[in-house]
Amino acid sequence: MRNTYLAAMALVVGIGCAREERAPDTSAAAAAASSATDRARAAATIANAIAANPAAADSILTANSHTRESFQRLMYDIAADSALSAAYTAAKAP
Amino acid sequence: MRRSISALFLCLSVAASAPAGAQIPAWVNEILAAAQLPVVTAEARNEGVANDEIRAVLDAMKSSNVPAHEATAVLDTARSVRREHGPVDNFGAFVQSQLAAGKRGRTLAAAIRAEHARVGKGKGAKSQGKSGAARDSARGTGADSGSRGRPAAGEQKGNRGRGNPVKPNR
Repeated sequence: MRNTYLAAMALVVGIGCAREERAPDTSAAAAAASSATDRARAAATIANAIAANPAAADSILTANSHTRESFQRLMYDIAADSALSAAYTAAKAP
Repeated sequence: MRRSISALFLCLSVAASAPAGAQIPAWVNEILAAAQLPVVTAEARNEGVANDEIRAVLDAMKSSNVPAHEATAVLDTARSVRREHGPVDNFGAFVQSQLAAGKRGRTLAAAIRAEHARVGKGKGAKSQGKSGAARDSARGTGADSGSRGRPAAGEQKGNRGRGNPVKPNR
C-alpha cells in the first residue's frame, strides 16, 4: 500500500517536472514571435517617421541603429513572413 | 513703395517654400519605396498569391542582390499583371531565371508582363484552349513543374474572378 502511494507520488512529481520543462519552450517561442512582431511594428514606425520627415531620414535610421542597407534587408525579412507583413502593414501609415 | 515691398515679400515667401518639397534625395525615395515591400506582399497574399510563391520571388531577388525598392516595383508589376491575365505556374522559378539572365528593373518588369500575357491562367488564356501541360512545355518547365493543373489561387479560396477582374477579349 505504502509502495503504491510512493509510486503515485513519484508519477505526479514526474508529470509536474515534465510540464515545467515544456513551459519555457512554449513561452520562448511566443516571446520570439512577439519580439519579431514588435520589430515589424518598430520598422513601420521608422518608415512612417521617414515619410513624415524625409529630410531627417539619415538621422532617423541612425537613431534606430539602422543603415540604408540594413533597413532594406529588414524590409525583405518582414515581407517574406505573412504574419510580420500583416503587423507591419497595420502599423504603417498609408 | 508699399506695392514693391509686398511684391518682395511675396517673392521671398514663394522662393522659401517652393524647393523644400522637391529636394528629397533619390536614396530617401528608394527607402520609402523599400518600406512598401511588406505592404505589397501583404496585399498580394490577400489577393490569393501563395506565401511560398512570394517567398520564392523574394529569395530569388534577395540572393541576386536586388535592392528592396526594386523588389517592391517588381512585385507591384506582378500583382498588376496577375489581376489582368491571371496567375502563372512557378512564378518564383521564372523570376529566378530572368534574374540569372541578368534582367533587372524595367527589363525584368517587361519580362514578367510578357510571361503573364503569354501563359497567365486568366479567363482570356483559358479561352485560347491551352492546357497547363502545353503551357509548361512551351516554357520549358514541364519536367520540374510541381503545381501543374493547379487551380488559380482565387478559385481555390472561393473568390472566383477576384484575381482576374478584367473581362476577356471576345
